[in-house]
Amino acid sequence: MVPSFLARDRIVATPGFSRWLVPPAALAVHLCIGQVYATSVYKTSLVERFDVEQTTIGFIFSLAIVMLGLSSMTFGTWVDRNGPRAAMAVSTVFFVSGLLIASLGVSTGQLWLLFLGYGVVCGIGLGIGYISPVSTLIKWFPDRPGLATGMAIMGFGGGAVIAGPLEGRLLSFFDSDFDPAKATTSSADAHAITMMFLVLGVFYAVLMTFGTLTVRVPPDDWKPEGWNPSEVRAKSLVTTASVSASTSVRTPQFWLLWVVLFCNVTAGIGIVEQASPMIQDFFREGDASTVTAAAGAGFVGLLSIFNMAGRFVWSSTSDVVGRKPIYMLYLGVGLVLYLLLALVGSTSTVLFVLLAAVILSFYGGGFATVPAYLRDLFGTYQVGAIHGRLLTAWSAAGVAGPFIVNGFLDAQGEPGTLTADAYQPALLTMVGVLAVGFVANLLIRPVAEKYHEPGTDDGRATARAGEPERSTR
Amino acid sequence: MRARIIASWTLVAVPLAYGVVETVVRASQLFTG
Repeated sequence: MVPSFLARDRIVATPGFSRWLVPPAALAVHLCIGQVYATSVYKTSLVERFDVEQTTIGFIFSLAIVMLGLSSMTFGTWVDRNGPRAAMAVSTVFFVSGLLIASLGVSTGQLWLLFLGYGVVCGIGLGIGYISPVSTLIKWFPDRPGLATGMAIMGFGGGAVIAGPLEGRLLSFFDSDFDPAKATTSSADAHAITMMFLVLGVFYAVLMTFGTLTVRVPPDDWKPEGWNPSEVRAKSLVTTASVSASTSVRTPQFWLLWVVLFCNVTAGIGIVEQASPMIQDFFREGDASTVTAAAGAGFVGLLSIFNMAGRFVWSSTSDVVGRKPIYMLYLGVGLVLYLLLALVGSTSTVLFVLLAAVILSFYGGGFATVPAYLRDLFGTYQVGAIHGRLLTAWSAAGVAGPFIVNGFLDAQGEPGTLTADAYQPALLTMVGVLAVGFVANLLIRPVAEKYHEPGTDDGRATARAGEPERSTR
Repeated sequence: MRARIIASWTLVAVPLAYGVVETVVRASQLFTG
């Protein structure tokens, strides 16, 4: 099915290999595919190039996120079976080819090629690339799975942090009239956008190939020096038994976690979607805002840093405090912060920025912690494939979040001309969404023994469905 | 092996550091107007 040099059995680590080479390999892939969140720099340029509405171009990016969820769900089992090198190689081919097709589409003025290249082909690369290192990292770091997946998934947030400024510089390099500081009003010509996609494609091909060639899987009997697997068995929400991907979707735990992720992402998108006009509207006096457009762009940059940092910090913290408590923090404290943002956010710019930054760190943390939560509940057997299925919650939230926010705001007027009061219905709806997620997380219990793969039960008194949980760690 | 680890981390850290510095500079406009 895959060339032999990509096969799982060809990349089993030999003695002396350090597990600390695996996180940079994973980061290399995630830093590239995270580009999908840095599209605002050239969105206006694409609108001008194809003479279409903003929503048409916006739909291409939404399509890429939907394809991410669909491909991670469809190919998750394949990724687990064939290993991370094959998955990273396929992801590289799809993601880079998608950028090249998009480049061709811009160059020739064929909008359908942009849909196909960026929306579909890149989207498939995104999904396979996103889940490609997860199961491998968890196996290399059974003692710190949250730290390991946090490092990789931080890369996805970091991808936008790199791509945003890089795209701006590339566009202004190829079109001297383009001003990256005014990307929402200034537009680059077709040649500049074409070249930007080409250069990004080459850059990402090199970085992703490095990750592909570096990654290794541990031997079956490998464990970290000094680590005692019985420590895992001591925590009641953590299993050493195995649940297959196809069985996992029949458990209530999978769907409760699906709701948790869906709610956390939906609420985060509420801020991400309208960050720049939102802060200007919150501090509007008459027709003018005390927050300039440049400061609004700075706010978006600050949020992207907190989104990235939250992925690493909170996911690593979950190794210490436990997965269920950390989601109680994301959803419970997040709910209170959202409420404060809606009710008193307009009283101080510093307070507004602080609240939004912490909320975005929880948004990122929710993404990064979920693979370790899945490992705890379902074991390492097919955790990559289960993760792939769970990411459909992200795709659904990618549709629901903007739908909720834009639905409320459209009824009030045009974002960028509103006041803080206009945002209250949307923000209070997000409070309700987070409350649903909080309850779903509370309901999560250990997976019942009947779902375990034969012969993999860990021997402890595994909880049966409905049995009260003994600990939250 | 240590040199390989350092080289690998450097390869991913350099572009990330570039992005973080550029973004922090942009974010500073929030406080300077």
